[in-house]
Amino acid sequence: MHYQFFKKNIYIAILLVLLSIFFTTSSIFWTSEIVDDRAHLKHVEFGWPLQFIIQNQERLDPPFPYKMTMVLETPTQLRYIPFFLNITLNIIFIILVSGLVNVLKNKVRGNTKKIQP
Amino acid sequence: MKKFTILLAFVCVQLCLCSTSVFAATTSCSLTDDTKFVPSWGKVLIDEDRYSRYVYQWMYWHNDSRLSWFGDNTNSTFEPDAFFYNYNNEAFAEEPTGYWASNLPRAYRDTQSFDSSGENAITIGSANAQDLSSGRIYYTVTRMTDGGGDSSWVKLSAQRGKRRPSWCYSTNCSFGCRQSENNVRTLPFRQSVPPLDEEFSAPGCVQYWYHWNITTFSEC
Repeated sequence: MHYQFFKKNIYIAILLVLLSIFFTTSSIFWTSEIVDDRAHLKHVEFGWPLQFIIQNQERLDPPFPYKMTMVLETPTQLRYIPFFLNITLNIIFIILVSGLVNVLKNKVRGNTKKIQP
Repeated sequence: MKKFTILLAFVCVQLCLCSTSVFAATTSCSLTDDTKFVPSWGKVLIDEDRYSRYVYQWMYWHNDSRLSWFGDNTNSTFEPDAFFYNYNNEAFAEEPTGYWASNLPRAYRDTQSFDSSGENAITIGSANAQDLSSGRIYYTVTRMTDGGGDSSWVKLSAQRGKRRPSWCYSTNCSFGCRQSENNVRTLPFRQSVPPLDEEFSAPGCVQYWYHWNITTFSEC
């Protein structure tokens, strides 16, 4: 009994971490930064909630101002501290969202039971 | 439990895809300068016939020193990119399609995955740049689909990179260098290129001499 409970929680923890890493990593593809001049192109940052990827997009020639998105094959730097902080923040975010969903679910179930004659 | 395993596997696959695309898009290379990999001379011809639009590029390194970075790196790659200005959604070309050819060693047609949508890259690269020789003219040609416009600015650049893993010669194993100089403009956008009065726009033909005594441009 104890073993089953422990095993189930480990799986949930692993799933949470994986989901959080996936969410954090994918954020670089849906975040953007507006650049105003050529100097700014050397340091374009992506990531959410904290920016953890820095790109040097100097090879591009956009009209200014322009909303830059992540581009591959450009010099890229990873900032580890914001990256791991994002993973932690996203784990908390996922726990809060799933908790809220559970509370709402229970409320709806409770209301349905009350309505039944 | 079965559902959970499937979900876990799905997340892992997604995670691997994301991490690979983020961290393997560029690779670590030794430092060098532009006179050790950029062609000394190049020419581009962009036009259309009754079948489709096409781009021809020719390039030439006039001595071994101009190829020295490739020679020093066994798994080096080279990409002579042609970029079509698309920030106004009026590029002359959108993406390579159909016929392509090149005499570059181990030539491949490059993918446009995760490229900037503002600059449409049309590239035939070399997956074995160590085999490039000086004193020989190399060419690339590819047909391409129409962009949104009948004319657009064109930029040419020379990019050095490496194969990862070294035994793989496909487009998906060629990564640009992370260190500067990694991507050098040989023909810039939106800039008059003396002695030409105006920017170069497709369709048309232009040639450049890059640090071959001087950097200069002329019409073909």
